[in-house]
Amino acid sequence: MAEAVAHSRLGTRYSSIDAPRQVAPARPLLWGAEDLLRWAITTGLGGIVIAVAWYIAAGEATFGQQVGPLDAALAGLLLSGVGNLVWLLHGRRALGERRRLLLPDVADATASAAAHVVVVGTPLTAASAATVADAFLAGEGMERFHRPGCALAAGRTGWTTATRQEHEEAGRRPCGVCRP
Amino acid sequence: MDIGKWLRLQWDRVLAWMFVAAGAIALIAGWVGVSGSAYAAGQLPYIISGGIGGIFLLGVGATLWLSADLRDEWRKLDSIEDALREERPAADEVAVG
Repeated sequence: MAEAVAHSRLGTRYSSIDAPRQVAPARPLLWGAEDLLRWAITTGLGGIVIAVAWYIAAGEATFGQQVGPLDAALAGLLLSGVGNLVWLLHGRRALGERRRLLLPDVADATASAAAHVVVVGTPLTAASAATVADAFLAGEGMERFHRPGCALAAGRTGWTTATRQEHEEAGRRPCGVCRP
Repeated sequence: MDIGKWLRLQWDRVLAWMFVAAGAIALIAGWVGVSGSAYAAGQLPYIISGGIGGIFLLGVGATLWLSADLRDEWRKLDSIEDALREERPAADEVAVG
């Protein structure tokens, strides 16, 4: 699994040195510098407060004198926890917003694509139902074929279904997103 | 697979495991320290360093691990965006033609 993740992380396209340099479209970032700074400050400050509280508590002889540092250590832990929470929530929100932006109808994709197979493709019978898993969608003139649930196939009209072999004979390649 | 390359790619998860391991060690060390002291005044420094410090390290480790998962998902969206860019011009050509 780690190798698969590593492979996907290595999946960046590198252009050759001789090729004319193209300006890559600007990609949004999951976390900005401001988020990183906020997380670093809260976590760093929380850690420092805990360390200082421990140092002071270790130098006190009675329990009563140690309660103050203990409270401070708990406050440092709370500060760090809030920082972590804000960091993660911000990341989740950014991810959700981008997903909605890129794939607005992804929730309906599976249902609409399945309906699309039934309407546009070969009528389903009990015998042919087993072959639905082998039916892939593509539009005329398109270079790639997709699984029925693929987000890139959602909402497309006029696309037809065919087997993998038929698509490949027509010169189409598998979609890079749904990897049929 | 080259371990150096793997570490470079998975730096966030490696760091997360290091923090989690440090947190677990701190908690165990804190427990050992507390159990070896008969007085509350002697136990409290261990509670702060081992207990609270350990939870702090575990929290940072968990945050780094979850961040790595979010980054992986973000990269998947990058590839989807690339595929959409690639797919749309072809679809436009068909529509115009």
